[in-house]
Amino acid sequence: MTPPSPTSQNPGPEAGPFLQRLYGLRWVLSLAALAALAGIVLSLYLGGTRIARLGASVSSFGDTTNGVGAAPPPIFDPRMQIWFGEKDAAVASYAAIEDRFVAEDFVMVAFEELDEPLGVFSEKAMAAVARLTAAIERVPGVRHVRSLTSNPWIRWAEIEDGEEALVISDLVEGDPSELTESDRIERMAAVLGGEATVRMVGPEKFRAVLGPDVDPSQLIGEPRLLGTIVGENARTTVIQVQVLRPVADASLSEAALGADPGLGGITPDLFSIQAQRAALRGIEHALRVEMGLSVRTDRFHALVGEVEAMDDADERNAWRRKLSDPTRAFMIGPGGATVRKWFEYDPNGEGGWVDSADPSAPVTAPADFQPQPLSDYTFHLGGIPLFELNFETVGMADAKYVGAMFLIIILLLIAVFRSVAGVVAPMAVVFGSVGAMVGIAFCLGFLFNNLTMISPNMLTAVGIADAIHLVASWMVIRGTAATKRDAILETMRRNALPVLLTSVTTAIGFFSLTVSGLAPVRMLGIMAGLGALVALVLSLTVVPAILSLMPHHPGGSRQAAGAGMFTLKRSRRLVAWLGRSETPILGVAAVLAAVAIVGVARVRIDSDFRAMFPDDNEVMTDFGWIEDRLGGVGDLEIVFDGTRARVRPEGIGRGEQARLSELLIRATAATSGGEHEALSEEEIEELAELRDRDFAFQAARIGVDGEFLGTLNRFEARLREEMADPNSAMAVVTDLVSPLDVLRKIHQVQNQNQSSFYRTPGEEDVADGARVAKVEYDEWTEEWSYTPPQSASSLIAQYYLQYENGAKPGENLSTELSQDRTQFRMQGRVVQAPSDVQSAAFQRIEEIARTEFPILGARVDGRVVEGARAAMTVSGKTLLFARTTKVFAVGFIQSMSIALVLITLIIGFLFRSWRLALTSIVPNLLPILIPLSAFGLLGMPIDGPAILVSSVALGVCVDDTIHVFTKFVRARRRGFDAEEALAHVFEEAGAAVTLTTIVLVIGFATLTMSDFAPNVLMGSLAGAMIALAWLADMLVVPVLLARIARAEDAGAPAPEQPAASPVPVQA
Amino acid sequence: MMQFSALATSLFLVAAAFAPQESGGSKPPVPVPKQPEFDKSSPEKHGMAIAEYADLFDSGWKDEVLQGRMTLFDAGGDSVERRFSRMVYERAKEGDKLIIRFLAPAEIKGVSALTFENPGGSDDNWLYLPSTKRVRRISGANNTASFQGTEFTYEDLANLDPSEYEWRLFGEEDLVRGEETTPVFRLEARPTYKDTGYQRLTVYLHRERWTQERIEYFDKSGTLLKTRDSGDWKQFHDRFWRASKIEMKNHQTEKRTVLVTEKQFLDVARYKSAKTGKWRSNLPESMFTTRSLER
Repeated sequence: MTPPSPTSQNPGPEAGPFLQRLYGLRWVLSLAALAALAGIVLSLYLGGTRIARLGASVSSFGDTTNGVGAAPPPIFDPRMQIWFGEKDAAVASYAAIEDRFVAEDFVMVAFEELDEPLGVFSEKAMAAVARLTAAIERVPGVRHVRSLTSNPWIRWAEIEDGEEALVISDLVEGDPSELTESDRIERMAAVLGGEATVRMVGPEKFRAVLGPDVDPSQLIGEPRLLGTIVGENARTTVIQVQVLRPVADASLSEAALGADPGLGGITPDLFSIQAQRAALRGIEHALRVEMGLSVRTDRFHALVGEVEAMDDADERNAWRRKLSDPTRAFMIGPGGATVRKWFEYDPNGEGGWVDSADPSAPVTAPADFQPQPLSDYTFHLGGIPLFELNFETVGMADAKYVGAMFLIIILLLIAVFRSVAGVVAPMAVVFGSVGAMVGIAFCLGFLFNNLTMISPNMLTAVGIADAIHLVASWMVIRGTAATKRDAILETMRRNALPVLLTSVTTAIGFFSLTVSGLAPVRMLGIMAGLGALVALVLSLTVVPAILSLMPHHPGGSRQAAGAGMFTLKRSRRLVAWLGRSETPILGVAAVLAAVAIVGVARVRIDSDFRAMFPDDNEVMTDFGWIEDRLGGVGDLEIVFDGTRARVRPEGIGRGEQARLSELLIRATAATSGGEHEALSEEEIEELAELRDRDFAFQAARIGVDGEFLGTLNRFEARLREEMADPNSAMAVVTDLVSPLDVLRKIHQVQNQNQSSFYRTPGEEDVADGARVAKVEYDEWTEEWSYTPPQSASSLIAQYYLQYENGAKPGENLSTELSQDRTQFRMQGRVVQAPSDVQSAAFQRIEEIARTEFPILGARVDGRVVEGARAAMTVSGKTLLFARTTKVFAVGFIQSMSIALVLITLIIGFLFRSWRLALTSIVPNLLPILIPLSAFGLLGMPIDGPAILVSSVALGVCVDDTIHVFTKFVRARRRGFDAEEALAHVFEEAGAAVTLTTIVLVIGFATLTMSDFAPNVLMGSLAGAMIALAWLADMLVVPVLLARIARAEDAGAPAPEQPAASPVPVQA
Repeated sequence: MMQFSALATSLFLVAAAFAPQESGGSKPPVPVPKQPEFDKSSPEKHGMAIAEYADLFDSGWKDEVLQGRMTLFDAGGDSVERRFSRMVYERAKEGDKLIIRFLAPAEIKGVSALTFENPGGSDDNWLYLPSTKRVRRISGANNTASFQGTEFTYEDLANLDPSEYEWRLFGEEDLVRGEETTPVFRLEARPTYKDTGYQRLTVYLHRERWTQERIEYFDKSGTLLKTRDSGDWKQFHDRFWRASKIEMKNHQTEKRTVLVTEKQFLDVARYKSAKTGKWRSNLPESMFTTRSLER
């Protein structure tokens, strides 16, 4: 090791041969710096190209833009599934449910009618519903619309010729304005039930419309609509839109992307989402038309004329379609120019109107613009697609804060250094490393998400610290160094090791996130970790290169603002004070540590999506509005799979079925004589075998199994009972629908509408005399046929058939019951709540099934219980989100442990002292635990994503410790006693450590500008942790170091006391 | 012929297995109607003329007995199969009468539906469920409702009555499907009736056989919703063409339904009984009652 220089006046000679050689290679180093910059530019280019190809691939499936043609390349990944734990079996089950049934989401459009006596059954409200239903049905991507005017009205009623019939129609057919008041009251009774209708219109009107003898309690209303489509007081109604997520053919994207399987896999998803967004845009357009906020342009009207005058019918159809497409506000006109079809206005904050169709080109409405609404309702939107969109809207909004943060940092650097180098060198590192990080991320195929959107802020804060240490040090040294070369060499000599170490520990903090089970967290770890390493390289190459460009001012030593705080004199005084306060400082630290441990143990990690967005977030406000009136906007899936409770039985094939039928005919008919030959012994065996196999298959068909559905019916009643109990965990579930509703309804209307028949049919409902097998001959097909004995199961199958035979395709059972009837789906709605509250509801469902209805197949330790008829899965996007919380908690503990162990080992190894290593744990861990424990002690939940920042903060907090340790060890090697060594530590590093702490705190504080609450929390937490780390390094660490040093001095022979002069002093 | 043949055509049909039972020379072929001079003054009139002749070409077959199966495929390719028989009594102008019976799977064996088609109005329907042993009149089931949970709606199964659409001829084309090339007229049909699920249809009509080779259905947003392809054509009595395989594919949900004819008799009196060897008689109108549903 190079002996320490006795003075600071001539640092040159003490610079080791290595550094000298390094300086000799400065041009090579400069080239390396340039190469690094070129690499950054290249990575940005390659990454950008890759993302552009991704964009091309997504649009190869179809145009989902607003009609302006090219879409910007997707840099944001809005897929909800990235937030779900990848190894979570629940995610796989959910995917299986989507595969089995139609992949779709519901969008809810809600409004209320408070004035009209008939509420939403008034002419005005129904007209609005009918208009919107028709308009939304025409939006491409919308599969089905269920609303007050468009839903199946199944009833037993008298038809024109006095005959009674089972009537299936829409609740309103044709123009709702043609309905008389009586018609509307009749429909109100059909939906709300008799008693609610009496409350709305009074008993006289009720009797006048429905007949004097009708008992209101006998009209039970329509459970499938009540509380879902219509509020129980008839004041609120919802238009429920089923929006498809189109399945894009992955092979197309492979063709477009070539050998880029990493991205190829997500392009179909991105396309599906974009297509769904286009449908959302179409729905919003329909609402704006209703509200008078969509105004067609003159060009649109002119184009209509041009198109109608076209001769070629194919061409005319194509143009008509472009003109009427509600998902696009623009189109490419016949001349190839982009044509704006309509202006879509949103009221802005100042009472004016701003066009919302194209955010990049805002258009303000004419001053005299007065909306001409078709109705005066205010519409509220809900549903998972809006929720997903909200994440992206808020995430992309965060991007704009990056610029603000750069500005703040630049101002700070100017204030602190008041020099060109002081601004240029650190910012070169920041821009270079952020650019490299984005380029590398894109090259790796990472898109941004709500978490990685803030990675530039994080990287800026941590990446700039090294450059600041170097520049601050250089500014002091250059005043005393003889040459430019000496100044730079000395700067590097003093700082290279701590810069290397702190960057490595910071990178470890980030990389520790890669053990997380969540892709966004892993991506954040990889991106920011690599970014920190790039920042290290740039700090060691570009910064000296830039400094070497600065003119040399011998004797012109300048200090960073505030550096004067830590003169040697003041430092000695501080050390003396610390010496006197040793006991109270350690005492306070010990108490804090104890309290922190207690507090951390009580921390509750939780995610409440309401809390993730600002109070005025429109989407969340709308969700709240809908939930207050009509129940949850979250989803719930309870799926029963009859094939998974047993080895999947193969049904018997077509040929075998024919054979079985033939044998059954003969077996049945032969007993009564006739032309049928009795079965031989072999045939009897064959029949038995075929029957056994057929029974095994039939047993899996739980969707038509009388016994299973009977149990399911009791289970459902039990769940409803819990849902109605405000003290139950299930109170957050507000709705349950399933094919059972259909069975009850069909059973009721098959029995002349008697409300006592609104129940799941059972064996007692099979007709007398139908329980025997029949063999018949059909003279027209000239065939014998066998009809098996009838049972509850056959009755149920026949009821389904009857329903599907009358339902619109969008209302059929295929989304709830698999075609082979082996899988049965119950769907519910869940209100927004903290994830542990929602999770408790989901667990309660499983618990009820497990303990009270074992045949339903709830799982114990992932396995279906013995004797179950099915396998039950509770799922849904809401549930998957709630589970994410757990993934965060596990990830937090893993990442923290890994980072802590690695960092402690590194310190122990480098300083060759286990005492120092253990000592380092105190200042590193305490600042992390104290802010977290505050949440535990105050009983406040912490957002899942926010807690992950802790391991990042750990990597940063340790920087100060390393600076202090390095300086301390160096001072000790020179033979200073504990106190004097500490004084030199403060004198040398105090200012830089304080300065970087301020920069880091401000850097993380910029996250608090975000609209995404977890980012705000992350910014505040990290800021608090880093500030506390500074405090710990300034107070607790010196005290501990002093103790260690004294112990060493006492235990070991006194080190040779070189008449060492103090470490170079820059005073 | 309208609804009658529409149903027949739409459901496909028939019968290589039956060829040997055909009457051969003892009953004369049914003559083909003379093709009129089409009014070509506009694509609309030309289209209408073609549609009317195709409709005329496929009328006059009296009655039909058919056995077939429908296979319902979900998006993942899983399927279920139902077997059924259908008897139709042709009533020109007044609308056909028909009975559909399910034969399999066992749980719906015996479910039977009786329909009286009413041109220009809603049909009369009755349904018999063997488990309840009751016939129920069904009313109001609309055109846009699914037929037995398949991808076909009642509207798809009804005949394309030329008078209920605005027609337009796009031109003569070759419809290429796999190896097979079919000469067709491509026509647009826009429904003029109210109760429809479609904005328009594109009909590919065979230029010599007058059969609907393919129909594309566009939903109200003008997006292609479904495509129906008919194939394996058999000719009956030197006149009537019936497809023995019809596939309806929904492009938005990826689900599809395939109808395959196993047995088909057109104009039943032209066949001899396999059992007795005697000539059979045509279906009596009197068998199309609710009583015969209950059997």
